[in-house]
Amino acid sequence: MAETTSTADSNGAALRASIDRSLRHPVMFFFTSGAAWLAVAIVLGLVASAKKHAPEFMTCCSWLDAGIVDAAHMSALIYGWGVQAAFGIIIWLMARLSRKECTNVGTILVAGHFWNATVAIGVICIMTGNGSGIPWMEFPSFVWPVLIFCFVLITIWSLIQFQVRDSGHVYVSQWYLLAGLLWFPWIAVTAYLFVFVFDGNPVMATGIAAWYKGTLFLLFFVPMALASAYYLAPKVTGRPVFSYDLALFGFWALAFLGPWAGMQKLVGAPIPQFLPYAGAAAMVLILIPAMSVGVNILKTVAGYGDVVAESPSLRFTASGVVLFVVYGFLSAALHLVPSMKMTQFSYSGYGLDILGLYGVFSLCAFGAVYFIVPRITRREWLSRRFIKWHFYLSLYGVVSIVICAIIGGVSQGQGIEDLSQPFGTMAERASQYGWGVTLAWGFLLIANLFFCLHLLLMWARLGRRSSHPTLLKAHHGESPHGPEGEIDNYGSASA
Amino acid sequence: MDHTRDNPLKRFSAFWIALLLVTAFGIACFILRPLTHGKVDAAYEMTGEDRLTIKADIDKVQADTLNVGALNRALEAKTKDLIKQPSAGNMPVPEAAPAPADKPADKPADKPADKPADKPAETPAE
Repeated sequence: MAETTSTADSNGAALRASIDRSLRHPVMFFFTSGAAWLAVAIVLGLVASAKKHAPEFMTCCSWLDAGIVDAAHMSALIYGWGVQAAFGIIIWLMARLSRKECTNVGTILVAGHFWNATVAIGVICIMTGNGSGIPWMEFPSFVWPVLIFCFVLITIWSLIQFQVRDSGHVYVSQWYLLAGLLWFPWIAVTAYLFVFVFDGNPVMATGIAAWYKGTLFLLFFVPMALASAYYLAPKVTGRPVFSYDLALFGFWALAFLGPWAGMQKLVGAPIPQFLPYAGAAAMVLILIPAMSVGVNILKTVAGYGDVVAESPSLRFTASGVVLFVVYGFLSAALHLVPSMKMTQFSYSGYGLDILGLYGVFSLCAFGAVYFIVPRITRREWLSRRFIKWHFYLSLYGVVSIVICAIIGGVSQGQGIEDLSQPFGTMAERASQYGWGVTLAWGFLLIANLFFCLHLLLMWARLGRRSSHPTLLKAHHGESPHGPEGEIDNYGSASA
Repeated sequence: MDHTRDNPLKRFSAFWIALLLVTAFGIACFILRPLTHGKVDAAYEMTGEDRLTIKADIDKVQADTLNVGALNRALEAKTKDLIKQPSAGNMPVPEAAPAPADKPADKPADKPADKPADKPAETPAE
């Protein structure tokens, strides 16, 4: 009996190792190019933020005008970093959970290169003044069909792996992965056709663009973050998910509420009045899936505080989940009817976007990167200090951005509403907080330089050859990681 | 590997099902598009019908109140008065300038006048 179990374990470890080997190049390509785009996005974010409180900053370059650099910053953050990090998570996680090797590495890599080239062309078009000017869809119209085609070429193999998986349990992570894989083409194709192709009413095109912005986060980035969190929390702690019923409820709550979000930005626009208020209601009710996921994941890791503190993956993931709960509360507060007057045309929406994209999605994605990369490169992370700096500076930076942007935005909104004051007063109120946001982007830049450098060293297989994971605990004895050793065996792929 | 679930045929069919799912969203948009357009046009037509009814009523009231005979008589009387008066075109122009002589045909019409290059055409006001 014991012999049979041992053989099964050995076969399982061999299968996991072969899956990791098959995915080494595409996953590392997406993570590394995503990290490079993240650095670009942060530099652009720094300039865009500085322009908000110091309009004279870098006026020498017309391609760094406030509107242009802001659009380029968000596009690089979303399509350069966000979607590529999601690609890495999707293809690795789906292969592992379906227990299938990847047999289409070449196609994925070619499509990945096309994706990067297209994003680069899109960003250049924006910076030369040829962007579309539509929030989160700033790339010119010819870029979108290529991006959608590349997305399909990269992810369709994961759908096939799910379809041909060995019969058995479908994990919570797989629900979210599968949903995100189908929701992205739905919202991207619909938004592209109605905004750029069909000659419909331009007001409704604006409404659909706003809907795309809301749903891209809730129906693609959130599912990817939660897929990673629902995989890592039980995996690292060695405990099952706290409640499957709660997980099911959270999933369907997100699936039901997500498609309604987005149009709250158009309150007062000449569109059917129920649409903005339905969007606002969805953004208020998003607290429900946020709470259910938060309770479920945090109860799963409850009692394992030392593991959360020591494991880089779990530390980032737990922070991302906590910030998702914060996102739910802030979203509810900022989309109530009385507060929408203060937030509709102010800086606070940007704070909520960055909380979602960086605080929720990116922190969970960093957690996944710290877990996946050692397994596919068969090397351990070089420096726990780099990881610690990345974590603390990221957390400090994103929390500072959110606090400054939201408080500054509400103050700005009060200035707009106060008709007895000149318009300049409103700008003065926001500029103080703008300084804070710029400083916080500086922290994020330093954090991600550590991350990018660390990732490049790992891709070059310059990581530690050790059978012990890199843990964030204090030095004891000779090495915090235990004795060094050969890891070119199945041990590194056993987790 | 469970060969009942994972075989080339199963993978091939899964590929096309996935591709069909993705393209189905685009197809659905093309089907829904005329429906959304039709709804918008109907709203305009409904408003247009009301406007046309109001316009017809106004036209009818105006036509009823208009006395065509009296209007024609007034116009004829005014026309006769205008014919009796000499028009400005028939009156002689005092000290009219002689007509300019025809220019030679081979001289281009748009040739600029010979002026020194550094001399402005008009002296600007001091």
